[in-house]
Amino acid sequence: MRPFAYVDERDVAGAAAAVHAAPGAMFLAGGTTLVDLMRQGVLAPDLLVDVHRLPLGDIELDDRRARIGACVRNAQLAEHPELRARWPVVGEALLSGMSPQLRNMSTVAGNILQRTRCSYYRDGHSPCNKRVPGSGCAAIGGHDRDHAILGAGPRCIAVFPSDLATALAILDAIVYTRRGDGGARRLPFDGFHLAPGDTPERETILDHGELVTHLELPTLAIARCSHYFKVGDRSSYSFALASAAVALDLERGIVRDARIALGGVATRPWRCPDAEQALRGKPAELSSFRAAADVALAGAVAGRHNGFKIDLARHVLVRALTELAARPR
Amino acid sequence: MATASRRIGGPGERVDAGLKVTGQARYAADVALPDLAHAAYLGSAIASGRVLAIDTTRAEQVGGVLLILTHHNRGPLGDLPNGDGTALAPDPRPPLADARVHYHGQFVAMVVAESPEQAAHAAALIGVTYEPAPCLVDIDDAEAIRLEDNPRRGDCAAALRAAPVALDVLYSTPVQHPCPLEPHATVAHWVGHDLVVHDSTQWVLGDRALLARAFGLADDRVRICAPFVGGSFGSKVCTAAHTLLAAVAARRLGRPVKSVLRREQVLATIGPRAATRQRIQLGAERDGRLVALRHHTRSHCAVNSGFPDRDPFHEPTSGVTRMLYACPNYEAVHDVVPLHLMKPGWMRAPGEATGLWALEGAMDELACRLGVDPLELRLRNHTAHNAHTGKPYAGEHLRECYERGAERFGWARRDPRPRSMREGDAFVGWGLATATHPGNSDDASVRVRLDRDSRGAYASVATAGVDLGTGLYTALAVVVADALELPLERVHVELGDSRLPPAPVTGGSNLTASLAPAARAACLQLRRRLLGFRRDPDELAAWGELLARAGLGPIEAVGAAEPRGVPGQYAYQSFGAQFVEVRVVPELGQVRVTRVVGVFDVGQVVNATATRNQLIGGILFGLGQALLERLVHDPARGVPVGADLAGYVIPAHADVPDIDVSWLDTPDPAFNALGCRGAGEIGITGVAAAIASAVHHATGIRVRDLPITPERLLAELAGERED
Repeated sequence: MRPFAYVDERDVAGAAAAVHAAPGAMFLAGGTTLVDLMRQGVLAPDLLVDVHRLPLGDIELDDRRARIGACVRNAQLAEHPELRARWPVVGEALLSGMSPQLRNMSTVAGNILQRTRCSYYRDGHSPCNKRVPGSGCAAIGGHDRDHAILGAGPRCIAVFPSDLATALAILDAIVYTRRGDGGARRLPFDGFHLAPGDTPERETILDHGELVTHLELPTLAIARCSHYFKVGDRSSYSFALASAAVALDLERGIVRDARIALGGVATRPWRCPDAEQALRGKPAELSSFRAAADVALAGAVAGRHNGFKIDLARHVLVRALTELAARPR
Repeated sequence: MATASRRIGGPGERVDAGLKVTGQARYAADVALPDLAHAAYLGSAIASGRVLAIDTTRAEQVGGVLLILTHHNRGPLGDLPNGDGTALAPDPRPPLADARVHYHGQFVAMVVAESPEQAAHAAALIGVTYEPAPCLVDIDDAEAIRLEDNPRRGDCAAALRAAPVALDVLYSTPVQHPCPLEPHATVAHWVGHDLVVHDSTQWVLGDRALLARAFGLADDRVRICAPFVGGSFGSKVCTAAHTLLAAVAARRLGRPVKSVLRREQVLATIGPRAATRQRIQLGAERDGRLVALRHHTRSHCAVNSGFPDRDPFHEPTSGVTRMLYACPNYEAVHDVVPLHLMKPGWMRAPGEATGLWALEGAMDELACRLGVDPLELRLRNHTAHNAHTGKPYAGEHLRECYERGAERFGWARRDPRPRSMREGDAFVGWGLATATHPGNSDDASVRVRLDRDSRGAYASVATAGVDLGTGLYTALAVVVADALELPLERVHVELGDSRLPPAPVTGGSNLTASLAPAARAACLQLRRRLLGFRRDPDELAAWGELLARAGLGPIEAVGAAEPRGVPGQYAYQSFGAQFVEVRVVPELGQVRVTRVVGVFDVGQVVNATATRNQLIGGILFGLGQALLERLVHDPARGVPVGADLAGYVIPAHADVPDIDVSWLDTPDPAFNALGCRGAGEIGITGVAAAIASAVHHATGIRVRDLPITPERLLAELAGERED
C-alpha cells in the first residue's frame, strides 16, 4: 500500500474542496471497497478525505420523497420500515448482497460508486483499461464467465456490481452532489453511470472532488409494488450472476405500467425501457413476461464463458415479474 | 470452563473454546516479539519464463526497509528433504533459487521492513523484467506422462469386453483449494544460533527437520511452535516457502521476522487439489454385480523446475476405486499432466474425495441403466474385505450405515423415475453414495504428568501433535480424564511444540487414532505405579493422596501407540452412507441441497460434539466441491482468476441445509486400544456424487463435471430444447 495522507473532514464543502484541490485525493466512507483496492495496489490515492462523519447520515421521509444521506449505512437503509413499505425493491436488493458486517460498514453512496468485481481489474497487474487506460483488456478472450453481456464495449466488459443501483434504476432516483468549487448538482440516476466506451476508467459523471451528499427517491405509486430477484453462485455474500429489479402497476390483471432493470449482466445499472413498453397493456401472465424478457435481452452479446447469462437473465426477469404479479395486493 | 463430558464418546464443548472466543488463543500471526520486522513478497507476473532483471532501487529507498532478498542474494540453503518422509517441501525448487519462473505468483522477491505496510509498498516498487515463455494451465491442453504404478487384478480388458452390461463415462474435477480461513503465517526468530519458529503448520517435526537441514543445524537447535492453527485441510503439511524465507531473513537481520501471506498468495503459492479427468469403465452382470472396473485418471502436476522431484504429487484417485466393491477384474492407470501451476498437494480426503466422485457417479449411472435401486446395487457389490488386498476388515459395518441412513432419510419412499417429485417450481431429487476413508495411525507419543496441589491431583498432557481446530485438545483431555478418573478441568493439555514428545503430521485423519491410545497408555502406566502405594488392594485412595504417600513429587510417563494384533492381518477402514435431497430450479441454474443424512462407522468416538462437528464440516466441504469450488486460471497468462474469498466461492451459512449426522457405536479394538478411527475426512467423501445423483433424479440431467454450476444446468436445458 502506498503511503498516503489522511484527513478527517466534518464539513461537506470542506471535504469536497479538499479532494478537488489534490489530483491524487479520494473520498473515504465505509472503506469496504477502497481499502481492499488500496491493499491490492489497484488504487493508490495520496490523500484520503474521510467523509463518514459528515452530517449525511439521516433518512428523511415525507409524502413526496425519501431523502437519504450519502453516509447512511446500507444496513440502516435496508431495515427502514417505511422505506421497505414504500420502496420494497430497495431493501430486498440490499439484503440480497453483502454480509451483515459489510452492510453495517458500507454507505449508500459508496454502494452506488462501488468498483467492479472483474478479477483482472482487481488483481492489480493484468492488462485493464479501467485501471490503466490504454493497457488493454485481459477479460476479453480471457475468463469472462462473470462479465457483461449488455453495454460492453471493445475496451471493457466489466460488470457494474451494485444491487442497490439496479433497484434505484427503476425508481427515478436523483443524486445530489456538492462540487469542489462550491457548486451543487442534481443528477438523475438514469445517466449517472457511464457506459465504458472509450473511457472505461470513468464510471460516473461525477467530477474530481464532487461529493455525493444525498439520494432522493420521489414517491412513486408503482414503487410500492416492486421486487428484487437475484441469482448468485451461493445463497448469500455473493455478487449477482443475474438479477432483476421490477415494479408493476396492475389493473384487473393487465399491466398498466412496468419498470424493469437488470443487474449482474451489464456494465452499468441497466434499465430496460423497451421491455417495459412491451409489457404495457399486456395481461400479467407468463407469456407476456417471457416476451418482455426476450426484448430485454435482445441486444445481449456473449463472450467465451458468459453466454449462459443471457438465458439466466431472461429466466431471472420472468421469475421476478411472476413472483411480483402473484403477490397479494 | 470445560464442560465436556469426561466420558469417552460423550458430548461437550471443546476445552479450548474459551481461549478462542476471548482471543487468548495465540496463532502464529498473533505472535508479537520485541524488534519484530515484517515481510512482504512480490509474486511473478508471468507463469512461465525467466526473470531477466530485478531493479530494487526504488524499493530500497522506502523508509523502514531493512532487507530485500531475490535469487541474486538469497544465499545458500542446505539440501531440502524431499520424498524421504522426514519433512516435506511444497515444491522441489527452493524459494528464490534462480531466475526461472514456473507459475504465476511464484515469489521473485522478499522485502522485510519495520512495518507490514512499508514492506508491501516497497515490494510493489520492485521492477522486474521478464522473458515470458508460453504457459500451460489447462489440463485438457497439455501432454500427459504415464505413471508406472499400475495396480491391477484379473484381466480387466477381457472382462470388460465380455461383460453383459458396460458403462464408459468421463468424470472431471477442477483445481480446488483448501483455502483455510487462517492464512499461512510464520514468525521466525534466532536465539543465538538456535532457530525458533512460530508457524501455522500441521507438522511441527516436519518443519523442524526441513529447517534444520536448510540451515545445517542439529534438530534440537530448531524449535517449532504451533499451539493453535486456524484450519489447514492439507495445505499446511509442507514447510511453506515463506516460512523458509522468514528464517533466512531473520538470521540475516538478527531480528525476528513475521510473514503472513495475503489471500491471493495463499491461493497462488500454496498447493491446490489437482484437477482430474477420470474415465471409469464398468462391466457388470445384468443383476448389477461388477465383473470389471477400469479407472483411468489424468491429474495435473507441476512442470519440471530443474530440481529433481523425488515426490511428485499425483492425486491418488484409484486408492478408493480399487478396494471399495467386490470386483474380480480391476485396473488403474494414471497420467500426470505438467502445468504451470504451483505443485498440487493434499486437500481433505485426497484421492477419496475425487475418486469417489467418479466411481459413485458411475455406480448411480449403472443403477439407472439396470433399473436397480442405487442402494441395492451397492449391497450387491458389498465386500467385507479390501477388494484389492483381500485382507478382511477388522471392523466393517457398511451395511448398517446404509440401512440406518436409508431409514433416517426415508429412502424406501423414493420413486426412481427422474422428475417424479416436484415442490412448486422446483424439482426434488434424492441421491446417495458410499463414503469411505482408511483407518490411519502412526507412531506417536504422549507424556502425562500427574501432580497435586491444594485441590488434589491434576494431570498435564503434552505432545508435539497439532490441533488444527478439530478438537485434539478436547480429545486428549477426555481420554486422560477418563483413564485417570479426574474431572476434566483437572487435565491440562499442551500441544504443537517440537520439544514435546514426538507426534506425526496431523493428516490422513490419523491423529486422534494415534495420540488417544498413546495418552491412554501413559495413564495406565501411571495408574500401575500409584496403585502400588495403596495400603491394601481394596483401598479407595485419591491420586493426590497416593502421590503424597509415595513422596515422589510429580510422576510422569510417556505412552506410545502400540501396534495391536498380528501385523498385516487386517485392513482398517471407515465407512459411511450419504443421503442427499436437492431442490433444483433448472432454468435458474439453481441447486439447493435441502437435506443430508450421513451415517458413519468411525470406530469408537472420543468426543461426540467434535466428531459431529468434523462430520458436518466434511459434508459442507463436499457441498462446496459439488456446487461451488473451482480455482480458474487465465488461459493465456496463468493468473488465478478471482483469487479472494469473494471469487473462490465456498459455502456460506445460507447454503447449509439440515444435516443429520450420526455414527454407529462400533469400536475397532483390533486397530488400537481405544478402538477409534479418525473422523476428519470421511465426511466429505461421497457427498459430491450423492448430490449429482440427486440432481439427476430431480431433473434427468447428468452432470459429470464439477462444480455443478448454473451454466452447466442451463447448457443441458438448452440442449434438451434442441433435441
